[in-house]
Amino acid sequence: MPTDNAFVSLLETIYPPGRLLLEAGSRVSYQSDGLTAFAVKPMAIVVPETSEEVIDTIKLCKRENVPFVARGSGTSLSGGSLPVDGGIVIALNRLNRILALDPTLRIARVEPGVINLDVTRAAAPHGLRYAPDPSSQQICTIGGNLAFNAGGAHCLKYGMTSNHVIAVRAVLATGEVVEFGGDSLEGVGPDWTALFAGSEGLFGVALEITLRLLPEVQAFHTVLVAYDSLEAAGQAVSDIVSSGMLPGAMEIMDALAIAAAEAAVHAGYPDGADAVLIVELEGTEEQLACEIPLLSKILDSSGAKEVRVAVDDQERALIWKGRKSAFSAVGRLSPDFIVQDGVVPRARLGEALSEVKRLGEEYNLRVANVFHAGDGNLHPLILYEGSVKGSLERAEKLAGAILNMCARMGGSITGEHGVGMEKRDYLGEMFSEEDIAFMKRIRDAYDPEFVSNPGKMFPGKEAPALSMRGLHPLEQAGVLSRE
Amino acid sequence: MSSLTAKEIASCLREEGVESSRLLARGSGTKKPLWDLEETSLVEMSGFTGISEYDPSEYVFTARAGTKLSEIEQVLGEHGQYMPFDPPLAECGASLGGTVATGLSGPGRIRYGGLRDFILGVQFVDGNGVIVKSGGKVVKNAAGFDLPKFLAGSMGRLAILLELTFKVFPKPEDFLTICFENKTLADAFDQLVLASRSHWEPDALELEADGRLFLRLAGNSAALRLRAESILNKLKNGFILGTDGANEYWRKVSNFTWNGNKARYAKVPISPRDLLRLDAAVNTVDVECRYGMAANVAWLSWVNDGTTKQVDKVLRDLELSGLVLKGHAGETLIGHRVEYSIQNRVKAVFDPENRFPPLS
Repeated sequence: MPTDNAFVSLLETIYPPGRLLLEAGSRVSYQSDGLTAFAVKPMAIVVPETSEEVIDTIKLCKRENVPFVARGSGTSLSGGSLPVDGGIVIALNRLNRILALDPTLRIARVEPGVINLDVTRAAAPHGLRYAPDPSSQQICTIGGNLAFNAGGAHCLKYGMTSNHVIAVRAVLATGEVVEFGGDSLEGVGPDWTALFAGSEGLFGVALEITLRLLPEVQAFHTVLVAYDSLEAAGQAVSDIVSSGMLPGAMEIMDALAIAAAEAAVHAGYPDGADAVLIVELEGTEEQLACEIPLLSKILDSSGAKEVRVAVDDQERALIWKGRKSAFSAVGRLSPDFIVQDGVVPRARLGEALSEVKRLGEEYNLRVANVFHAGDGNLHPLILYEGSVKGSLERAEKLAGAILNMCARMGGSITGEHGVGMEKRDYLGEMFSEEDIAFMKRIRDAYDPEFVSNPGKMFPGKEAPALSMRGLHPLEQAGVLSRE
Repeated sequence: MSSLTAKEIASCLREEGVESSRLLARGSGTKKPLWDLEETSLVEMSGFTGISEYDPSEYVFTARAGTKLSEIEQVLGEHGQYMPFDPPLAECGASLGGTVATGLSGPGRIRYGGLRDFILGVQFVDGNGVIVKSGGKVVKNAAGFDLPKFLAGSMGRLAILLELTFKVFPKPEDFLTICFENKTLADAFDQLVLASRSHWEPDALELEADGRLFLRLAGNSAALRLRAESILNKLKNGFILGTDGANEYWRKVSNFTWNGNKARYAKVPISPRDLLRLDAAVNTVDVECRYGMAANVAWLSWVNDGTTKQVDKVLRDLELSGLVLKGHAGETLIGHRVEYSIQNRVKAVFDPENRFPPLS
């Protein structure tokens, strides 16, 4: 590895001073992502404006053996875009062009720095939308969504990011430029596009991503239901699932999460409920006309305290605003918190929540719960006070205990945030040594020099120093939210 | 129940004295061009069967690779569930593993996604005889590389699939098919684009070269009738197909019998934009053609041996790739060959000793 100065001189051959950030202030801005407990100052930040600059940068990094991390808006909750010590950050925000949007083919070809919601904004005039909707969709980028296979509230019905990506043009860690997939939904041979999706930046950097767009949904039916217990809310979800309906989303929040959301955005969630369930049916008007009475019947006999149906788009938006703001809102209840992301078989949600509660008591920490109930994806928010000695360590232990529980129940250590930095030590809870060794060999095939986002996903390397805590600056400003 | 174990299958790759022969797994053998290769021994998966896990409330099942699709469909059906991507050749006895290895989806693919969108987990034997697991057994999982999706379409040339986990959905109460009769394929394509961009949520959109468009709806019976009426008001020349007629049509599509039993059938992924160009090009050769999945795939079929070369050339000229599913030995891949620089390195991870045939 060259000295920092020598490498910076090489970067200067690609970037003008305004797009090669070296000063301390910039390096601090990029030292953390959505997992704010971790911080590593990068050697430098480069801000490419063209694919060629990205390719040249990666060739240089490979040649000089300098690690790089590609970064969009830095919303990763698993520390996926955390800088690597001695490495550079490739900030892709200026590669934010929608290169093509073809309503006939229902596809959009975008650069990695395009913001998730901007795809739907561009598609909407054509009656189309981009389905994956992570809570951070107002700010997170498609490149990051692809790298970490981002999810959202509609995954049971629509799948995750990889289900909506049909082609990727990427520069691999070796400097090779590849084009996986094409303009067809189908292919011949192994699915290279799918393997690139969710590879957490370990293979290289996507330069152009082709997304599948769906027609806008004709009608929604959104219901907010209040319960006296989480168990009752969970039972309602089971009843809906066994009815044969396939709602677009089913979300549950517990009392602490409700209180936080209410304080933050005044979504008008019912007072004093121990749990709220959001159910959203969507589809053609004719289909909804058949399903709405069925859903009402189930909810009316589910022991609900209150059943509130959104009568217009405004009420629907408010219900979702409460849900999507929940994570950031928890910042009002506690100076610091960890957003956890695990999956359990849906039928074991009740059992899992009891166990989370018991663990919270054991570790003497408050835990707020928000989850995608339809697919068993838990998001416990562990509240701690970083200024109190040992508090973060206890919170991390509790987070680990929750992940162990998810793996033990036959679920997953991550539903949608990815492994990144945060969960790499838990990969072994789901996979054997052989499984992990195999994945490492796949990584080596793409990145033999070990320069592309090294240190993520796989267990083993020492964790970087924990030096930052609290809300992400963008969260404080109210533009970023977590899921 | 299964008469073979995973370990026994893995041991095939470690047996002494067989290093020289290449191996391919075969399930029910419904897709001959995929398994009938020169100098290749077969690992018979028909003894490695059975649904090992299925909890209807989780929308997930796990089955051994040799399990027949028909058995899975029956068990799912008993609980009101199904595989929305309509895996073809189920009635012909196709196995789950063979379907994954071929990466084969049917008409229903357009609504919720294809096989690659429903596969969640895999256990496989690599070329060293090591059993590896990837993915998960829950509907949502982002841990580790997505090898289950990657292996969809890998033709058995990277690994032997052992167990597969899939997401399933509640089966719609009813299906309804509308047939539109157009004068030309171009007219039918215009209708297809309208339907594909609509909020009608078509469950299938299939085009015939003669200009017929088949639009299938799925959902509650009463809703389907109303929806169909509204569609028929918007798109001309359509009529609702009777149940028998519809079943017969979809069965032919699924079983690849629309050009007879003896013909070759090939899958050619296309962009809908390629449709008319390809249709004009195949008109110069003795090939029957239909277009599935909202014109994202062309299904080509021909009878004569000599035609294979002509089809290969037509596809090469258009830079389209094809996979022959039914037909003769040694005719697996036709048309344009896609090769990535990374391909050999990844193949070497799965199969360092080249125990399986090359990818392309």
